[in-house]
Amino acid sequence: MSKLLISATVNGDAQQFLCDSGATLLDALRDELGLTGSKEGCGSGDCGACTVVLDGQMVCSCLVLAAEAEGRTVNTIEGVAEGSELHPVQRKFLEKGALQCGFCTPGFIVASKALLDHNPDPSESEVRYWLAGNLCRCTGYDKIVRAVLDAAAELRQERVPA
Amino acid sequence: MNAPQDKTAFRPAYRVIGTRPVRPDGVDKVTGKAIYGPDFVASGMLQGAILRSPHPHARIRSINTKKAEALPGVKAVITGADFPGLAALEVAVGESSGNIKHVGRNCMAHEKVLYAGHAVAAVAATSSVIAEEALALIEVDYEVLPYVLTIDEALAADAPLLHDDIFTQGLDPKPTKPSNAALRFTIGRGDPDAALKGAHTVISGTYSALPVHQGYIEPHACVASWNADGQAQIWASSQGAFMIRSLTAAILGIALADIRVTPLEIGGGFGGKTTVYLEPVAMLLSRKTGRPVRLTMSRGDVFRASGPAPGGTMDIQLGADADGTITGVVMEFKLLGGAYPGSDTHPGAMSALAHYNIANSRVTGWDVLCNMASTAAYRAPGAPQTIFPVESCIDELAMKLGIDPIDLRLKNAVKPGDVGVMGMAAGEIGYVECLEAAKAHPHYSAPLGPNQGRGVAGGTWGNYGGPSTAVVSVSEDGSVLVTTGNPDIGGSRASMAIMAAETLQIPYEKVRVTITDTSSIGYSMLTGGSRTTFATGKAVIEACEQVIATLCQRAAAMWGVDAEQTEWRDGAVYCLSGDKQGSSLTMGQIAAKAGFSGGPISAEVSLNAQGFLPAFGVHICDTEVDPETGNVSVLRYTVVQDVGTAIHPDYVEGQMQGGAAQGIGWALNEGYVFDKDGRVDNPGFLDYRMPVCSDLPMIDTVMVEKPNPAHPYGVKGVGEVPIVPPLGAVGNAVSRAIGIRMHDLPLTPDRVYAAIKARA
Amino acid sequence: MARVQPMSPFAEQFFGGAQLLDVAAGNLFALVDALDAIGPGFGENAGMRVAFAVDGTMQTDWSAPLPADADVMVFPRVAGG
Repeated sequence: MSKLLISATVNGDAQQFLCDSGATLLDALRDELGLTGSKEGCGSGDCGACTVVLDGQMVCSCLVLAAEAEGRTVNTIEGVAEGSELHPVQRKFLEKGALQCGFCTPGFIVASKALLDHNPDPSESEVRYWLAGNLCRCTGYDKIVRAVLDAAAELRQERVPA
Repeated sequence: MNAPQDKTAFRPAYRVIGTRPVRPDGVDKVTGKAIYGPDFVASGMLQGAILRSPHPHARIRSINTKKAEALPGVKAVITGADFPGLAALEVAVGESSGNIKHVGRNCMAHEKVLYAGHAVAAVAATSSVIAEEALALIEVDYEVLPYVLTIDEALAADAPLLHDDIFTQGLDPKPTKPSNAALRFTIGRGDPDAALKGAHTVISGTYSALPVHQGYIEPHACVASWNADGQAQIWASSQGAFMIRSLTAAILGIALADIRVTPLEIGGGFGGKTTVYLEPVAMLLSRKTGRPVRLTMSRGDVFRASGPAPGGTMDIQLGADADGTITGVVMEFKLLGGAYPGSDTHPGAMSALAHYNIANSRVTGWDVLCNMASTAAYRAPGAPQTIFPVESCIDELAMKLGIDPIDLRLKNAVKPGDVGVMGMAAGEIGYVECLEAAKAHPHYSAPLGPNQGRGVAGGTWGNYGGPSTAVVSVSEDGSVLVTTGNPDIGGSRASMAIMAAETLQIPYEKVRVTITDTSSIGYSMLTGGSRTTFATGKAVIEACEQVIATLCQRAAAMWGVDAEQTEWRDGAVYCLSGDKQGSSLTMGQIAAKAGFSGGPISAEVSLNAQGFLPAFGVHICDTEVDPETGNVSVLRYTVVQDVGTAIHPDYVEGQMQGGAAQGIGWALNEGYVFDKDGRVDNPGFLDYRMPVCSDLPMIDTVMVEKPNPAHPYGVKGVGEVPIVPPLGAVGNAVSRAIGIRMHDLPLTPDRVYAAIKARA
Repeated sequence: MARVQPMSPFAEQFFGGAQLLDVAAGNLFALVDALDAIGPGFGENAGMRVAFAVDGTMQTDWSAPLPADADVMVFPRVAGG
C-alpha cells in the first residue's frame, strides 16, 4: 500500500507528511509530525480531545482523513501560544485551576479559543453549549467555564482602542 | 532552631498554604507539551494490538496463530500459553491486595474467557495497521458457555460458574461447592432486629444502581522494553509506577529491581488505573521481539475490558423514634463484581452507616461474580452504592416525620469521640460542621418553582495514609527541588510545592517538583485512597525539616556557634548569639559553600503515614423534572465538605466539583447496557452518556476546614468523598420534585416518565 | 493479654467463627504469629488482606509496642480509588 504525500500549513509552517489513505488527521499530527498535544480519547468524535481548527473551522481531527488536509491550514494546541507568550485562554486555565489531569485540556483550549474568535462576548450558556462536544471527567466544568468567561473579558479589554 | 509551630490548635496564618498559585506542570499541560501514556515513543518501537473475546463466557479449545505470524511486518504473537504459570499469590496493590493469578489472567485469558472483551492473544508488528490485520488472522476455537450478567442469574442454583475454585468466603461452615458468590461480609452491633420491631417508624426499600465506568479520557497505554540481560523499562500512565512494577514483576516472575517504571502524565484514573492490563502483555511481546512495544486501548476496549465500578441491589430497613433518632438499620447489598473477586464489598459495608451514630445495625454485603469485566476501584469504592439507600431512607423518614432533612441528619450525625461499629472512636471529624454549613447556605433556603425538588444527602469515606517517600534537595543557588514517586493526577505537584515552601518559609516559585521513576526513589504507595497530599505531603514536610536542620548546622559551623544558637526564619539562618549575633545566611549562601563543609544538602524521608482521618460531605441538589418527558435538569448544586486544610483551594474545590459531576452522571445518565449476546452495548462516549458542559450548572463549593491534628498542616484526604453523596442528593431531589420515591439508578427520562405515568 | 476481635471473613476463615480471642503479644508482629498458631494460614494473609485497630486507632506499624490489655480489631483492609 503506497502512502500519500500531503502538503499543508500547520501552525503557520509549510509541512509535508506521508500517510496511509485511511489515516486520520489526528494520526498524522501525532505520528508523522510529532504533535502529540492533540489527544485521542475516543476515536469517534465524542470527546473532543483531538479538537483542531481546519481552515478556520473547529473539527475533531479523529474524524478527518489526513489526506483531506492537502492544501489546507491546520491549527493545533501547539500553535495557540504566540511563541512563549500564552494565549489568554491558556493563562486563564492556569490561573483558575481549570485543569486537573490535563488530558482534555488541549481540546478545550483549542475549542475555547475558537469560540472567542467567533464570539467575543459569550454568555455562560453559550460557553457551555459550545464546549458540549469536549468531555472533561475531572473538573465538573465549573472552573473551565469561568476561565473561558474570564479570558473573554480580558480579550475584550485588549480590543478596546487606546 | 524553631520547629514548625504546632498547627493543630486552629488554623494559623499560613504564608503559602491556602493560596492559589499556578501549578508547576501547568504550562506544559496548556500547550500540549506534557507527555501522557499514548504519547511516549521509544527508539525502534513496535506497535502492539490485542485480540479480545467476542463471547462473555467460553472455553478456549485452541488458538492458531500461524497465519498471523506469517503476515509480513508481524514480529511476535503471544497467547495465554506464553504467560508463566501463575500461583494464586496475594500481592499488595495500593491499600489492598490483588490475587496475582486473577490479575494475570485478566491481562490475558488462559483456557477460559470470562467476559466479552477478555484478551486472548496479542501481536507486535511494525505498524498498527499490520498489527490489526494480524489479529483478524488469529483463529480461536471457542466452546461457548452460558453466561450470567445479573445478580439473580449469577446466584441461581444451576448458574454457570465462572470459577470452579471459588468458594464463598465468610460463611460458617465453609461451603463445599464453588459459587459465583465470592464473599459474604457482615458488620454490625447491638440488636437491630429488636430495634426495628420497637421502632416508631420503619422505612424500607429495595434500591439498585448499574455498573458505571470511571470514564477517564485517556485510554490505558504503555511502552515496554525488556532486554535480553533481564532488565526492563516500562513507560506508562497509571496511579502508581510502583504498583505497575510490583504487579508486572509478580505476574512475570522477575525481580523488582529489574523493572524500571517511568510514570508518564496520567489522563485521569479515579481508581481505574490502580491495576495492570497492558504492561505484562507488552513486556512479553518485547521479550519475544527484542524491541520496545507499545500497547494502547481503544475507547471500546476501555469500556469492555477495564474498570467498571460494580452495580448492585441494596435492601434496607431503617427504624427510628418519633423524634427522628435512628434506632436500628438492617441492610443487605449485593454488588456485581465482574469476572474476578475483589469488588467493593468490604469498604461498601464499612462505609454505609459510618456517618451516623446508630446503636443497632447489621450490614451484609455480597461480592457476586458475573461475565463482565473485572471491576476496579472507582473513587470511594463501594460507598456511593451503599450510602445511596441510606440517604434515601433518611430523606423519606424526614418527610414522614415532618423534620427538616438536615436537622434529622444532625440528630444522628457521628461526632468526634463517638465509637463506631469497628470499635474505633471518631477523631477530629467534621460532619456536623458540614451539615450546619449546608443549612446556613443560601442555596438551602432559596425558593423552588413548580416541578422542582431539592435533595440533600451526606456521605463519608475512610481515606488512607501509608508508605511514601520524598526527597528534598537544595541546589547550589538555594533553589529547592522536591522529588516524589506519586503521579500527579489533579495538581499534587502544586500541593507538594506549597507545603515545602510553607515549611522552608520561602516563595512557592523557588520550589520545583519532579515525579520520578521507580529506580530513582524509595517506594511510595500509589496515588489513590485520597492519600497523596496527606502521606506524601508528610514525607515532603519532614524532609524539609531535615534540610532546615542541616542548613542551621552548616551556618552554625560557619559562625562557630552551636546549632541551638541559630534560628530558621524567612528562608534563612539567623545567628542568635556571639560575635555574629544578628547575622544571617540565605539558603543560597549556605548551599554555595556546601562543598567546603559537609557536602550537598538534601534529605530523603520514607515513612508510613499514620493518623489519617475520614472525609465527610453534604451535597444540596435542585432538580427540575419535565412532566411531559421525564427529563431531569440539575438547576443548582452545592458541595459542602470537611477538607481539613485546603493546601491549594483551587484543586480542592476541583475535586469536590469533579466528584459531584461524576456522581450526578451515575445518578442520572450512566450505566452499562448489555446486548442479547452479553456484550457491552454502549462501549463509547456517545451511548455511555457522561455529563457534558451543557448538562451542569456551576457547582458551588463550601470548604469546611477542620484540621487533622495528625498532619503538620491539618490535611485530610479530599479526593474521593465528593462522589458519595450525589446519588442520594439527586435521587432525593427528583423524588421530591415528582412526589414519588425513586429507587433505581440511573434516573433516565424513561424511568422518571414511567413513574409519573404509573401514579397518574 | 490483648483482647482480639477478628471480624468477618477472618473469624470464619481462620478462627472457627470465634468473636474474641485472648492473645499475649508485645507487638502486632508477635500477635500475627500467635494468631497464625491458632488459625494456620492467617499469618500469610495478614500482610496483604488484614488491617488492625489497636485501642480504637488504625495501626499500620506492626513494630509499635502493644499495650498489655489492648483491644485489637482485625478487619479487612480496604482499597481506595
